[in-house]
Amino acid sequence: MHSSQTSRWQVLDDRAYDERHQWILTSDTLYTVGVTDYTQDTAGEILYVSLPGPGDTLVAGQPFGSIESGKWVGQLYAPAAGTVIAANDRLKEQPELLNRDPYGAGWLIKFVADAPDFVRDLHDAQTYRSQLQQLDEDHHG
Amino acid sequence: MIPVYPIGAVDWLTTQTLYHGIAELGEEAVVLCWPTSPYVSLGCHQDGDEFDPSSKLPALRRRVGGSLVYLDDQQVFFQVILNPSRFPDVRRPMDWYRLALNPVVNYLADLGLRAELNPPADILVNGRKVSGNAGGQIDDRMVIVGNLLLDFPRDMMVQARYAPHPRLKEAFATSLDEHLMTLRQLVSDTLTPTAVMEGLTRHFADAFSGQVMPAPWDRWSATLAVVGQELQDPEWLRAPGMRLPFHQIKVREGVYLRMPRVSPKDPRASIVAEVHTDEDAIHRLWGLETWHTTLSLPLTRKCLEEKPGPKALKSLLNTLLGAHRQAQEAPLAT
Repeated sequence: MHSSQTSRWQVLDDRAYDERHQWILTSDTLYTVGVTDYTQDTAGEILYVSLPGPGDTLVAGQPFGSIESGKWVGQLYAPAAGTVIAANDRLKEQPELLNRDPYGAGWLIKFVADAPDFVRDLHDAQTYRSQLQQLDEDHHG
Repeated sequence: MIPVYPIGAVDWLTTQTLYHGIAELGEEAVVLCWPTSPYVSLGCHQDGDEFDPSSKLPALRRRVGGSLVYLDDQQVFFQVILNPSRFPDVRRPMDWYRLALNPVVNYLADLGLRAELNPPADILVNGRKVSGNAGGQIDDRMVIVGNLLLDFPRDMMVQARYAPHPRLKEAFATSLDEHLMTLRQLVSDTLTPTAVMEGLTRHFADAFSGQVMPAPWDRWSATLAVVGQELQDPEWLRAPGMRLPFHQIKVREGVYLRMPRVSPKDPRASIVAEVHTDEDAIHRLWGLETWHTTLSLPLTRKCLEEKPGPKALKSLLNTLLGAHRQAQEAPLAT
């Protein structure tokens, strides 16, 4: 799996990215969602993850879960309308997986979408990488 | 320009629905208020069982972080609701806390107090907490909320917090006395919530180019009513949440009381440790009477390894020191 790090944050080529710094990996009709390296880095040490269960409904653009780090609660957003097929139960006991391996063992949910056309609105890795680079440059002036 | 609303006394539920509702409405604001009667607020991800209903206090669960707090009319609340697109350089929780809490630190300096932000979100004076804070994202707004303690009835706080053994409540009372401080103790017995609110209003208005204005209750009231029901919904309020391998009460940032999750018949069931996570050390221990052993404090992990003693006890203390990293709310990287 190819990855690149033109900014401080790792971006993988094999998946798409949304405006909320989440990644979406497509496998036939199943979509896996996680947070990016940028999200885990800016959140700091993640202490708790709240996720929906299998069968729960996702509403596009609405929170489907949340994470807590340093008394701060951040939201996780549904990239599309759909139904949750699986949630990463390991995160209940090991929320640190989000920091350690956000693109792998730290995946959040797998879902089927009501309509697959939402992927057209996602960014490819190169576009997301450029966004991060811009963020980095803006931050450091 | 950010509106600053020095609201003052409102009913207990409104002190919490205000910042949730303003964020949901997509507005920005700094709100200053306090509740007319006591209540308990649980953190968004806290285990619902950590509230002790025998305290008979009304309770809700907020949507920002942190743990259970007892709140009353001797605490002045500040609630900062911001649009993140106007602060592109502020990304990390620690940065948001710093942005929102600097006016509070500056107000305390006006009172002659050398206050410091203790990451992530406590404000300390002379090493003791005078202000507890929490934050998060509500809809598309960044929200930082907290309070300044004018007075603090520690027995009420202790009563509101569930403990599996009375020893944990006793330890909590002792630790609160040691680690908390109030403005009345530090400044003057005559300091009033109104005076504190006026001082904070000036500093928040300066910091955010704010305009002081009356609260637009007509615009807010319908949303606040809905939010109030949601925050008290029994299923939301009693929901399970973060559950550590030990019972834990946070006293202030970096200082935790921990008690093992073992059977009540286990001789270790009544042990309580006050753990200072930044030093990786136990500073106080309760419940060692039956072990006929003495341990010099503070007790670091290294001391524990080197010192002879009952294996079961040492193993337990090592666990309470926080082998499980999720027990610690470590300072965030900046």
